Amino acid sequence: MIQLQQVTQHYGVRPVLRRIDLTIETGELVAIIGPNGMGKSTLLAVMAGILSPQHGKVIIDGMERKSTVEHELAIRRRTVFLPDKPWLPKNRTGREFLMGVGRLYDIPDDGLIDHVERLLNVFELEKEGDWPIRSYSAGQQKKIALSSALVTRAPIMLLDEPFSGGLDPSGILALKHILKHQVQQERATIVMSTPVPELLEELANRIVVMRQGEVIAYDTPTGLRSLSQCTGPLDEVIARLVHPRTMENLEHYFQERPKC
Amino acid sequence: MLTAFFRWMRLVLPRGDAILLAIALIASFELIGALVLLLNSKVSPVDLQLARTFFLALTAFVYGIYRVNEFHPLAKPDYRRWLETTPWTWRNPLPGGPVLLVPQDVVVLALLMGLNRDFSFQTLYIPVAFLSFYLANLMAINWLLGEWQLAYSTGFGLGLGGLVFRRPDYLLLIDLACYLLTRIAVQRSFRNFPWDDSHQPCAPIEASKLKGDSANHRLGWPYDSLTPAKLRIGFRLHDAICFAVLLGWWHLTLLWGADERVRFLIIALPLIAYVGIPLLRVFPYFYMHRSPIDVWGRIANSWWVIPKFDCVWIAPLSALMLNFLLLGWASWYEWTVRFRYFEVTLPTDWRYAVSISLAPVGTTAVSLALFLIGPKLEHWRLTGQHRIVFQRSQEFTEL
Repeated sequence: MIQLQQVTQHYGVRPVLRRIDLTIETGELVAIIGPNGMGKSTLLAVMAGILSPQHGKVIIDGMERKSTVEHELAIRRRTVFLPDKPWLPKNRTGREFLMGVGRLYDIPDDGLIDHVERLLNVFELEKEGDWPIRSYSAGQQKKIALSSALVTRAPIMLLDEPFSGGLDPSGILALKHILKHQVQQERATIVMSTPVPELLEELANRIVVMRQGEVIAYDTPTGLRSLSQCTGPLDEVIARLVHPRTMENLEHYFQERPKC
Repeated sequence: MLTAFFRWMRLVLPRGDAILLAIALIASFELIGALVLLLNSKVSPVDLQLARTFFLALTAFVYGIYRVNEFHPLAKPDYRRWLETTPWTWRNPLPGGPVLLVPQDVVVLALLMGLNRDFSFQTLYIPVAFLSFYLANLMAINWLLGEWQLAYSTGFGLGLGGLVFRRPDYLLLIDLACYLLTRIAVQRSFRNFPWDDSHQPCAPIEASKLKGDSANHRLGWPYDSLTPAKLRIGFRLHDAICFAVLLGWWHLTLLWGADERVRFLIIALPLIAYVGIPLLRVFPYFYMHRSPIDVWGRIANSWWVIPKFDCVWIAPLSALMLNFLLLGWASWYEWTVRFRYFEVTLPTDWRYAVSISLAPVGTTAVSLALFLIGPKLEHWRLTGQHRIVFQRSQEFTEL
């Protein structure tokens, strides 16, 4: 379980996150959604321990983040964070990189070798797995980065925009199914951010909607529909919550259009 | 006969191109020296001889560094990994060549001394240069391999050299005594081969965590920064104390043996050097870790001090204060005590006595402050209030 209590995060003068209270249950896939620059990545980075909030705390499985060395190491062992733009070691092959990450998380070699093989297979990188990462296309790099998060078998995954970055349709399909499996079969807790809501209908248990550094809604897709009083597709529901005047403005625009 | 001799010497000699380079450098020195002597009447043969001794001592110093770094398995990770796969034990000779001194080393040093063409005591500076740096290098390696008592003993022994550095014969005797300690330390460390890195006082995380092909490689962002493995960086208590006392001891022996003209410099120079050194201590803390909020944010929000971030400055500032208090006091040349009706200026001898006592104490105190005052690097990285950033380099590619 991930709990955020009154989290306020500043980089400079103005706060990027304001008094965020959030509880994410174990075995849930929660998506953070909102327009650009509203604090989605910052919220994930706070959960991941990259940032230290000026106020409030982050509690993961009952342990406060950065409270003691033992707690922080225990949290790091059960958490994996994948930023939207990771930096990959360009001279190592994809397979070496995945093995290195797996060993960092103390995954035994016998199971690790098999898991790496299956990940390379599912993301269609069997051949490229033995090439240096510098020779990969953007989409292939995204796949190997996603595989590195999956190879850790961490029960808590924090993924910043996992579906962006040049992932092809087969990669999107594979990732969708793996994430679903992780949540339903392995009881993993997944928090991911995305600027586009199309994929969330079938994936997310709950959705965090952010605007101006604040959580304006946190509910299931059905709950968000009743909150927004909109029965349309999820992107329209989100648009009504984030930009309540957008639809009104659009209606005005079409009504007031001069007839030719 | 000559072939047999070269075959025998090959046990310790560097590669052929390195030998050729050394011969070329020595020949060039002799040629330039002869030309200078011929063209410049102000340069005497005595000056040239001094320069020659210095140059050959420098060659011996390079040979000393080479003898450790080329032959000790700890200094060559690939050699060490290979050796671990063999049935080698300490009872067998090392397949890559001996770490301890062998008769061939005596031949090399005798050759360098012969090239010096000066059969006074001064020539002994050549083996002294070799032994001092060979021993200092081995001292560090023995310390890393857990032989810290013998390593520090060697360090204290080498420090004695400061007292007699104008007497190369005494220096040589001190070095030979230190060699005996080092020899025991090396033999003891090889009995524990293969070495367990977890006993090392500080080991990079990659070396301890990743094995085989993955060792010594980095994993990029965010895995290097958010590693779930424990870091082992930092001084243990006994190391902090021993190392601080050792630095103070070296400072004291240097002062003791120094000429009166340079003694003041040896007291005062650390005063300047120790301004920079405490500030260097914060670099490992700030590597990939920054303030959680920028300066303007701090000012605007009145967060002048962020205790869990700014605590990294406590040790360097304490060290700086100690530096100015103790070393400043020690180097205050016009040392006068003023009373109400009269003033007393301490006699020169007293001043020196106070300075000679205070300066090494200052060095030890500054070092202790830097080594012992928290926060520990690992503790701060895991629990400090900072922002983790990634230092981009040529090794990585951004997605």
